[in-house]
Amino acid sequence: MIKRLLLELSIRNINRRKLRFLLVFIPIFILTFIFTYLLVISQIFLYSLNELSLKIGQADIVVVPMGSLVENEDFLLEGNLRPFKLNPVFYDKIKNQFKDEIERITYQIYLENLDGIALIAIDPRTDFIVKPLLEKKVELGEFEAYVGAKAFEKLGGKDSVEIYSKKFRIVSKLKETGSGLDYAIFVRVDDIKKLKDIDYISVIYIRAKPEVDSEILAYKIENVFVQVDTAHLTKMGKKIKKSINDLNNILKFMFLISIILCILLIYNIYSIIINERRKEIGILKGLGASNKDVLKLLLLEGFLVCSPASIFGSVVAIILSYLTLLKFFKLIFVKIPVTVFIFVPLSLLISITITFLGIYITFSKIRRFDILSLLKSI
Amino acid sequence: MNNRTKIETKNLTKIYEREEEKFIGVYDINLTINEGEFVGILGHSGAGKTTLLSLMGGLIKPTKGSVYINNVDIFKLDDNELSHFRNKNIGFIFQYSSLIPNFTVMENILLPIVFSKEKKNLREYETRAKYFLERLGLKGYEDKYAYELSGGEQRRVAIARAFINKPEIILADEPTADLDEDTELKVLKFFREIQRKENLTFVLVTHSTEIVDLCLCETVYYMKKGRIYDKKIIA
Ligand SMILES: Nc1ncnc2c1ncn2[C@@H]1O[C@H](COP(=O)(O)OP(=O)(O)OP(=O)(O)O)[C@@H](O)[C@H]1O
Ligand SMILES: [Mg+2]
Repeated sequence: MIKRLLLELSIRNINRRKLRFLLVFIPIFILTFIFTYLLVISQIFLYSLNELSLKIGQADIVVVPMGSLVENEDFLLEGNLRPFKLNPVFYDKIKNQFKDEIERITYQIYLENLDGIALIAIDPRTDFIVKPLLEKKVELGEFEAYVGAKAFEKLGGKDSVEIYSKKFRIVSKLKETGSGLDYAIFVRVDDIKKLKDIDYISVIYIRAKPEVDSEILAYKIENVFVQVDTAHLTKMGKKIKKSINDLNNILKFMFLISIILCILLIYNIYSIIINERRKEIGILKGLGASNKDVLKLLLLEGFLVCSPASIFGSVVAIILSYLTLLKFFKLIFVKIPVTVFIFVPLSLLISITITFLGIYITFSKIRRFDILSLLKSI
Repeated sequence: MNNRTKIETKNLTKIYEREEEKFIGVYDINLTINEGEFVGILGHSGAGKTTLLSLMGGLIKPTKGSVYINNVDIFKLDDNELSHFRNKNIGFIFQYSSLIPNFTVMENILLPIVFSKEKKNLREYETRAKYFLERLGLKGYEDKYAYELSGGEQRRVAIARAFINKPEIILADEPTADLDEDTELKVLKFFREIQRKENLTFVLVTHSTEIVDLCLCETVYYMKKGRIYDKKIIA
């Protein structure tokens, strides 16, 4: 009953000082927002990237026509397919010249974008990129197709698809990879050639023999055939990771500054709020509240304001960070790891600590005054 | 000191210091107040009445000397003990306005109960509060907010609050300062009645001789420049 009165006392106080407490609510909200937002973004990035490099880890090297590396990255990371052309002779040339170092080699032809679905032709005899991802291990027969996980959803689960006025039966779905492959449909090169004149290939995937340094191999290929560019897939992953790390460092810096600013702000606002309440504190103490009682009341109020602000801030941050990556950067490989929700209680803890510290320090200054002078203050 | 002594001050001195200047609040006060005694403290503005009362209630610390209540040296208690002691034993009517504006009349009156260490039945105290309000001419004011009240009404709510926790001692600092004559009379009558009924030790500070007479104070102390210069025993 009496504990309830204390709680009511603090709620009433918050209501009475809506504007003041809004002034606390906002910096705490911003603080937890920044804190969670930045951490979640880097967390999601790293997590998604790990997943991605695991999934196309079947190949070591990707070969594309000179100048098309970025476009290829666009496809792999964002699912945005632009057909680029490489003379098919390079496939045989590379295969023959480096046969001692290559374990597997295959090529793919990027055909076109069909309403957000990338049409890709593969050679099932040599393919080692798509096959390991199949949910059902079935060979690709004449006028049959494999579909990526997202493409499958887009097709609404249909069992066939029309390509160049010809019906292709869908025989298997790919596991989700978080890469552009999810948005692709795969058909046989042989079938496509029956429907359309195709005289190019787009990418060549190579897996080096275990004893071969794939990075050196990629370098050698590029040196021998100046018309192509090569990307080392693990290196590509590393490169992205590095730029994310650079970004992270900038974020960390901003993060530190904003946190310090918020702490100062919160501290100052509390010092204003509590100093304004000298008289009230004097009244309560005059009626027999101990310093401990008053502190408890102030902390309770602080808690009541800071916890919704903090929870609200971190939840909004999680949602917004996800949306930023998904919608703004259009990164399709983004997945929210459940672990990001740890930032909700974590930022709650941090903001409660800051709030309590601010209240405690301010109150320590006030408790030195005698009750009579507190009562006399306006 | 006999066994009926409730409040005793010894060489009680308070000097206010600000930078180099010193102001005498009260100087070398020695007095003894018995249980159930109605005491008046009379003096002009600035005589040190509030200072003395605040010392008795432990609202300020003396420069020298001590205050004994129930034979306990109150300035030897730590903050926790003194707060509890004050909450339990002393009802204070402050000279300065002392309601929390956004609390209702009832909530303001029940504040001492909130900080009480003993388990209390709130209902019982609500009934008590209502009775006080009625006696003080504020029937039906329970749910009004303090900021809605006139100065005199606020003052009477503060009076009701001083008695709510059934203290043994009432320290009243100019309790009727902003009341009209009729209301003042009503309040003083209430004081006298409850003081007798609950055997309260009552210290009333005022600058008006009239009030001292109306209250039927048993003992009156006269103050000037921080000292007690006269004592009159009436009953
Ligand atoms: N905080 C303070 N600093 C300096 N001097 C003070 C302080 N508080 C009170 N005094 C001085 O102490 C003296 C006694 O003050 P006190 O408030 O006890 O008077 P009082 O008898 O209650 O007067 P009133 O009837 O006007 O309320 C006054 O001269 C006053 O100026
Ligand atoms: Mg005074």
